[in-house]
Amino acid sequence: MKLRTYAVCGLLLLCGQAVGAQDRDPIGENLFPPELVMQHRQAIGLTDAQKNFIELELQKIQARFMDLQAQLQNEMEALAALLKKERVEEKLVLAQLDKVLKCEGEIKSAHLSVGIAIKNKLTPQQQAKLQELRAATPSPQALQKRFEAKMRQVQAGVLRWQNDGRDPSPIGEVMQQFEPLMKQGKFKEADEVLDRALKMLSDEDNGESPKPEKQGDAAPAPTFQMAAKPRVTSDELKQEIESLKVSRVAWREIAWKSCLLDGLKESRATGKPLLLWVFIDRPADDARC
Amino acid sequence: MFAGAAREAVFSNPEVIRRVNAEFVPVALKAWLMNNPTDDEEGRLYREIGRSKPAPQGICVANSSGKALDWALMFDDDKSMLAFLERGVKRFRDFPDAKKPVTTERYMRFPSMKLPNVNDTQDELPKSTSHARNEGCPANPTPRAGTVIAQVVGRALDAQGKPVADTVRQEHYVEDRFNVAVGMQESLARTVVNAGTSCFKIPASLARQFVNHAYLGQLDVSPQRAPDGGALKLCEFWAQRMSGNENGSILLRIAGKSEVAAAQDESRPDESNDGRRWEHSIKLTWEGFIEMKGARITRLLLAARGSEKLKWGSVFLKGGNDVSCLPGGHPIDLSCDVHYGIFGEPLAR
Repeated sequence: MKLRTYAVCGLLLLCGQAVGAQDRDPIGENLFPPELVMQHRQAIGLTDAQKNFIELELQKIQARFMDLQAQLQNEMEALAALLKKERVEEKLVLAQLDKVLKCEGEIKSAHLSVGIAIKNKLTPQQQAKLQELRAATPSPQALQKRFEAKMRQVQAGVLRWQNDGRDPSPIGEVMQQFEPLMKQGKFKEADEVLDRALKMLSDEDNGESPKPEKQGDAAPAPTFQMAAKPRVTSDELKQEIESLKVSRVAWREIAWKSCLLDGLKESRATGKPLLLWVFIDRPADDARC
Repeated sequence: MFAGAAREAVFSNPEVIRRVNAEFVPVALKAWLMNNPTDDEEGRLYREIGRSKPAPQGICVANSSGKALDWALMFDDDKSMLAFLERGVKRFRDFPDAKKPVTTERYMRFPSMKLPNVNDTQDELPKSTSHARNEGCPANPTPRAGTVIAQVVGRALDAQGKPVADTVRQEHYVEDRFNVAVGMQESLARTVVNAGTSCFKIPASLARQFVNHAYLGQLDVSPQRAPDGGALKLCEFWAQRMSGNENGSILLRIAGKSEVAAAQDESRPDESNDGRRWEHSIKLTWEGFIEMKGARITRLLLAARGSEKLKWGSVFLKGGNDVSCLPGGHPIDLSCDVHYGIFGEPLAR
């Protein structure tokens, strides 16, 4: 199977760039991201009114950001299309670049507005406490080393899963959170994402190559009483388990394909459009989603 | 949350099921493949679909060349879901393939919240019908031979101790699956040999596999997915070799107890800071059998009974139709007795 490691190498680079870029941020260091405030809400004594205000600000800005991001994507694509031509019209490109920069500016303004609104809602004591808490985070160099080491462990674990024919999608799902967190400077949260991926990959949790159990495992007695005889035989238990399962459930009534190539082939043969359900896990068969 | 909510609120709707089966080729694509496309021809198709995506997950109508026609993340109401399908069919009639450039229309919520369109690049797309050389379908990786595929089913019980009739919502009825790797089976075999005829503790890694999959609700409420990994307060599984073995097979009797709890709220914004709030605790008593031949499990049978508490919400959940808030799901407040079953057999070659 082809190596799919979530562009781990790229993420390794990102570790360096993002952490390094945080050496000095004269704007960011004077504002408080909503996540930081919420994360330390108990430590700074955030009131319900302040909390509700922040939640409301976030709700308002969420739709606006989606819209601006989509606009930015469109303008970037238009810029790329202009640059793709053999002869590039400088005037057109620069005009399009202005549109891209305008979009980026609006995104930055929106970010800044939220930051200002939140800061103005906090008391000077709360602001001082948050600065203290922020200063207590590890140095960028230490973080970078830690991230790189963990990322290599994730990469090795994913390779191991792939070599064993296991589906690394769940790790991919978790790792998708890493890059945005790094870009937002949320290193603690990014670190926790790496820890979660490593936990999922760990031998102990997934047992691909479990360590030998200690010989002493047989020694201690159970903390509960094992009945003298089993309640049922294995065949009776199988029946009991089967009786729990419902074969005809509504969500299995659609015959989902999982292969894009098969879907396109059938679409061409039948003249029907594809309906793509893009999802993180595997909801189309006997699995949780 | 999106996939679970979409399955419950959209793809369990009888009229949606009827129309999808009659008028579409339904394909469930893993977001991971779309968001991390390979550099081969298949990867180019995934990349083209992903190019216009409004979010990492969603519902999309595409034409036979793999050009996205419409995306939606949510719907105003049940009628809007059908209107979205109708619109997809109509646009497919106008743009069945890549002969004409097509603009992708995108909706945060169909039809009331529209996002900007995405223009066609008019790049020629491959017409691949097979995967890259020597490789299987990336959406269906094949586990190693001998891997035990374990299927899990879980039911919420009513006040009379009977399974709740609803099988759409995962907090009432859940199916899940996990693999018991060959290495883990070998580890169990070594423990069996060392124990002789004594009662012995099964390997912790295997015990945790059982416990990790026995919970009601969507993936997001897995205790393992809590920012701190959840608290495994108790996970003790004992085994005893039973007599009457035939053909070198042995039968192990299993008994166990487990207790797990986890929680998350917006003060720990790890999950993309989406405002989720949940609490989950599960207490179970286990019984069952493992049949082994040599170092391999030939049959796994486990049942568990106990109680479960689950609460799910989000700062963004304000009520209304479930289809209008697919990323957030619906509120859950469950406290009931539960019954789980796990049945596993080795993967057929």
